[in-house]
Amino acid sequence: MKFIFSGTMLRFVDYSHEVEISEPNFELALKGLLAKAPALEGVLLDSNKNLRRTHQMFLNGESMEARYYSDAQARNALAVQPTDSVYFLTAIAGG
Amino acid sequence: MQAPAITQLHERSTPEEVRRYVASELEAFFATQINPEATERDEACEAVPRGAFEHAAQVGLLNYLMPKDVGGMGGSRRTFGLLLEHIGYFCNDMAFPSMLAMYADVPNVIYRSRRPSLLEAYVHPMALGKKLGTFAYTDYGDAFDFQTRVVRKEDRYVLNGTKCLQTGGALADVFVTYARDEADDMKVLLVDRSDPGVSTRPVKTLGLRSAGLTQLKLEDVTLAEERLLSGPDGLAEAQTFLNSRRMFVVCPFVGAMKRIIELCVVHLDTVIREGRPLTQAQTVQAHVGNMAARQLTSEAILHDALDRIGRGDINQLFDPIISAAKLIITENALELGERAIRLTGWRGYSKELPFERFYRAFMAALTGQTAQDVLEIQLGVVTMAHVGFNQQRGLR
Repeated sequence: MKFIFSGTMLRFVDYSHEVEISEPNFELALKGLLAKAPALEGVLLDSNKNLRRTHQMFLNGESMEARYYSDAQARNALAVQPTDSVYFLTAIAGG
Repeated sequence: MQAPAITQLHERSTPEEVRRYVASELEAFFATQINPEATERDEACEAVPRGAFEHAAQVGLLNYLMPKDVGGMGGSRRTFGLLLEHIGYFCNDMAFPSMLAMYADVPNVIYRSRRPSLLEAYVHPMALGKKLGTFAYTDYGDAFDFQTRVVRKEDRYVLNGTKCLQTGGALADVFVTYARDEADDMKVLLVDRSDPGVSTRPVKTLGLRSAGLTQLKLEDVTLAEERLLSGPDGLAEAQTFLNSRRMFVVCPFVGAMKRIIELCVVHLDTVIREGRPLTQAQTVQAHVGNMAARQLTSEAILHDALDRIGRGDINQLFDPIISAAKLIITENALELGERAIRLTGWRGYSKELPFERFYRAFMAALTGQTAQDVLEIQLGVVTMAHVGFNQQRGLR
């Protein structure tokens, strides 16, 4: 599957717009992504190792449900195909 | 004791009901306490007087968003937005609604900690207008690169850095402060003006000069553990707060736009060119028509966004409708302000008329509550993601 980044996130993936990971489910794909781009870990995960809600994830254009942010089992149960894409929208506001 | 008139408003009050409340209960206050010195305050970069916010607390405006169990009105964010809109019409100093929106919202961030000591020391006095709080977010660098750092030392937090710009900082007793910790996570901490190592200095800007804008310096500021307000994902908490506040910055603009049009038409009617008032010239009528279209469109966009907020029909972290509304209302306000100056010539450009001051105030939203260009990028990214995926799947 493909992870897609833009904006402020690009510097944590060496300015690669897309990162390809071959894994059968979303949890393993996420682990593969963090192994490939370790600078992402503190940015993507909070201190409880949950995905930060600041990064909105779109799986093939559909906003992903809240459980995929905090439940590793739900991520494990989510099978992914090579043609699937997860888009990270990181909309960081200013004051 | 008689309940303040604001208690007649509720979560489904119509815009007209809110307008009538502001006209009957607040217009005289603005006319006597805020408007007469607006130009002089702006020139002197002097903050709106603290007494104005004590009055706002007495009438239930400052504490409108606060829960009832700490002395607030428990009012809805939708209705508060409508209040700000109509205050923008009656109040000639745009700094007042800007500061009010900040001071009214910050207590809720502290309230959510549920710590009795913080409720007693800060939230209860804030409900009475005895203490005021602002938030210190803007930093040198983006949220992943904040220069303000917090380090844990035994059971204390030590803060160092400079936060660039705070609305209402000149009057604020406390600052809800955002800093990066050792793990590069974002932490939210409550800083008291009286804490050793805290200092502020005024920041001079193009507009909103009476909004008490400050820069906050933190030098080895040592805080007890109870001052930590954030949980495990401080970044999401900060973004939720900022997203929910985004509309408030433009609510007063919509009322002010209406006021500008009225003042402009009244003035143009007194200017005689070629033997007739300027209001009879078709080019002037077209300008005024364009201004009216921008104001009415902004009003419609604002009310729709506020209704969505009222229904809870928004994305808490980044809402495209709220973001688009802030973006477009700001652009409309700027265009309308510029047209008012074009129409009124040297008077509009000078301080004889208030248009240049309104125009400068609108400019604050170019960079405030997320810069316009950043919002455009974010909305563009969301749109392109949806279009791209829909095309992949053959959807129309």
